[in-house]
Amino acid sequence: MVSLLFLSTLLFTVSGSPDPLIVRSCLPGRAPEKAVSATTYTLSVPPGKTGTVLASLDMPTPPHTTLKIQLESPGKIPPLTLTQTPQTVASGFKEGTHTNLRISYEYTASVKAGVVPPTLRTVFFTILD
Amino acid sequence: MYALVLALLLTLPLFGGNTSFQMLAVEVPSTTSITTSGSPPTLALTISSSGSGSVSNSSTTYTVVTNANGRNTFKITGAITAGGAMPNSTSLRIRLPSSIGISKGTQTLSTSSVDLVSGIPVLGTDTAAIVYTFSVTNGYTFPAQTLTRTVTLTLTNG
Repeated sequence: MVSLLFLSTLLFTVSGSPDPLIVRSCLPGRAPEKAVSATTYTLSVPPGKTGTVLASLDMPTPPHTTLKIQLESPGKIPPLTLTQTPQTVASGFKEGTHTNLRISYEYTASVKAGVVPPTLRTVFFTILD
Repeated sequence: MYALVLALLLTLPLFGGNTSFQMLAVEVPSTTSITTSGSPPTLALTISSSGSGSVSNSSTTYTVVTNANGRNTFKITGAITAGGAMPNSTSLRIRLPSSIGISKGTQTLSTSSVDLVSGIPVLGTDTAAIVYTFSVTNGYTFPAQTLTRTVTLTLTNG
């Protein structure tokens, strides 16, 4: 008996959640620096389809802080500031399985942010044909 | 005769797309601090015929960064923390200008803390010169010498 799995939908998986983004260093005379972290993702695109990835946040980041994201993709989309509105963060995928692509996060805070205790945010990815 | 059975498993698209998510932890810990650009050069003075003299230096700077929560303000104090009190007939004074706090003007340094800047807000950053003035009176009452003192600036609530 031979079993065949026929994929007709896009599949998107991530390697896990990134390390905590903690803005630590503070150079004399300058606002707190940025924190960066990264993970990877895999996107499988069936024949006859293309792949586009959108990203959004479950809620805004704390005041005077921003969270940027950049996904490695053929569309070479630059880093975007995440909001609750889905934005295209990866595009141009054609048929095939695209593995170990980089997801980069950058968290920045101005002096006006004050002390921000450890806070969780969820990034939602939506994959479209 | 063998029967070849093909079982096709067809996965149907769910609402035309796919979703996934990641959870991120973000944090901005307290980085409230005061730093200096280094030590000033030797303040060398030549006493006059009356035995007095004074020399100033403002080549070094201090930087204060505050990112605390709450409504309290900060202040900067200064003290001589190594080398002991200044000898008789000499004085070491300091002035810290401030664009975000209230400078106390020129203060004489001793082994006891003295306020130099007050009213620094909980969120702010500032860099300004440190003005040192070394003065001597009755200079003929002690031999020529080099004095070394450590001055410590402290950022504290207040």
